[in-house]
Amino acid sequence: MTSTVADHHHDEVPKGITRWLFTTNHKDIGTLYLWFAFIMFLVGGAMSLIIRTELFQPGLQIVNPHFFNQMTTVHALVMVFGAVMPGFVGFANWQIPMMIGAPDMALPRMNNWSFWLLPFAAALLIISLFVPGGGPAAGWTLYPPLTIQGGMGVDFTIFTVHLLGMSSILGSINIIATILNMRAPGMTLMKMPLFVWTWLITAFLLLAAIPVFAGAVTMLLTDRHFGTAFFDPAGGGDPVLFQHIFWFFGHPEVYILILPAFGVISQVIPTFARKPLFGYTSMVFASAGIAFLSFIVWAHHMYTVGMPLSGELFFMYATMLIAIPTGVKIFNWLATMWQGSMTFETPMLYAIACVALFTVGGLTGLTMSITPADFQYHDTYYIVAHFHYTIFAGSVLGMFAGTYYWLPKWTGYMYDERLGKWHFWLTIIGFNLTFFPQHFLGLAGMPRRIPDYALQFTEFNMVSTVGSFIMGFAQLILLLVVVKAIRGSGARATSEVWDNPEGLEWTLPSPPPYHTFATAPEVK
Amino acid sequence: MTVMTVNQAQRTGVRRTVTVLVLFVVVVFAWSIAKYLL
Repeated sequence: MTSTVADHHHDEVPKGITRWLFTTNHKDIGTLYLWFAFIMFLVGGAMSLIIRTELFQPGLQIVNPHFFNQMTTVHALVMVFGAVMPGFVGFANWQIPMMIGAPDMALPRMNNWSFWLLPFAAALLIISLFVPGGGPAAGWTLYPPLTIQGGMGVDFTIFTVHLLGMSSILGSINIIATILNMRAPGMTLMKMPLFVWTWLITAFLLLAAIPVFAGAVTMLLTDRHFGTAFFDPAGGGDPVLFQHIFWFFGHPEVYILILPAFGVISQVIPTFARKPLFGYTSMVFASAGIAFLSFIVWAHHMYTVGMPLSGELFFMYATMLIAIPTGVKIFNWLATMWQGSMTFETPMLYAIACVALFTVGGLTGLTMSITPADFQYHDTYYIVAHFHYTIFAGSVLGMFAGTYYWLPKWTGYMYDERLGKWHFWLTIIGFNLTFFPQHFLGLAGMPRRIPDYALQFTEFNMVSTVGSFIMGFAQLILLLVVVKAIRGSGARATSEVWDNPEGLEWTLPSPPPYHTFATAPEVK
Repeated sequence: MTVMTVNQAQRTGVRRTVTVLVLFVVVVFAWSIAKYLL
């Protein structure tokens, strides 16, 4: 039986500020998420430039050490929770309903609420920098005892984390409910595009991981203000307990950031290789395998706290296992490209760079999984290099690939390919200049999160800083590309946009109407 | 103007899914604290 919902949905597009405040439309909310993420990306990027400016040469030049610590902390929190996660929720909002043939998300009003929690959370975090005692300065991991001793800014951060967590949980429930219940007839689970699959798995990861993090910061709050001693040794607590709980959330979080990017490039590569995705089923199972393993490897982040040998061995071998499903994915992307009629438009360039550079991050990750070796790498710039090769090269480059791939669909106009390539090359050159030398700095013993360093690290730090400015300012080109596409300065995009792309979204006009799939399509 | 069609099975499915997931989240959050109190 089909019932019709006619109360809130009209064919005409609402106008003015109320459109954005009260919208329940998945495309509008997707747009809000994407703009929010981009603004946070610029804010977090500006903080990273402050860090890199300070590190251009040894000694203390620009900022005091306490502010430097606040910058490293807030940069990470803004990038992880403000830029990458909301960015992919933006993609999910725009794409999932169109990819599965649904008229909208399953819970459109909750969708609006999930988004509008974010600006308030971000404002709290930024305001924390200006309260007495300054913002959080303990690193994004919020380890006690520093966070128990910190000022009011830590309370702001805890509340920020609660709000962001609520937003993520609401968003995940919405995505799971949409995918499991709103698919068009014939769209079986194993016919879903990989992007939808990776988001389904990511949403389950979020639901299992975020409440644990919320529990940890709640305990931190009660330790700070309500006389408990979960993490305070003075009252019989244990700071290492926080590390265990944090990383039980924190490692799945890494895959929360990367799996949707894997989904994006699994859409992009087949289109530009003009071949179907190689090994679809194995891709699904590899994603699920990565998600499962992410919950049993957390202590590889904290080998140096002192663990029983059996514990170290377990976490070492479990971590090494992740290379198998990840290797399956990389093999499948390469096999998809193998003997394809490839062309190298900007989305494909980003997808290839994502695979290549993420593999570098994966390999350095494998080296760190080896417990005795990690004792050398721990808390050095090798770690900083490693995780930027995974989070930036994996997640952010994947996001760029998706932006260029779907931008013509979203705006109805082709983006400026020449500017897109400039953006690509400057980003890739800047990124590698910034982070590749940090491997050497880390191996030579330069510690992370310290505003000063020994003289012998100067040259690599200078290169790194120059690279960061190239990469940072290159992002303004992306802004220009997007604004130009929205203003319609390029050629009109056809409904297919690319050469025979796969997926229901390409059956819709570009841009798609405000409401799509009012009648569910039949999937053969 | 009618633009969005949702059938009854979908409505029921969404309700069930949301109920199960909300319960799951509440239990995980509560347990993540309670296990250190018990």
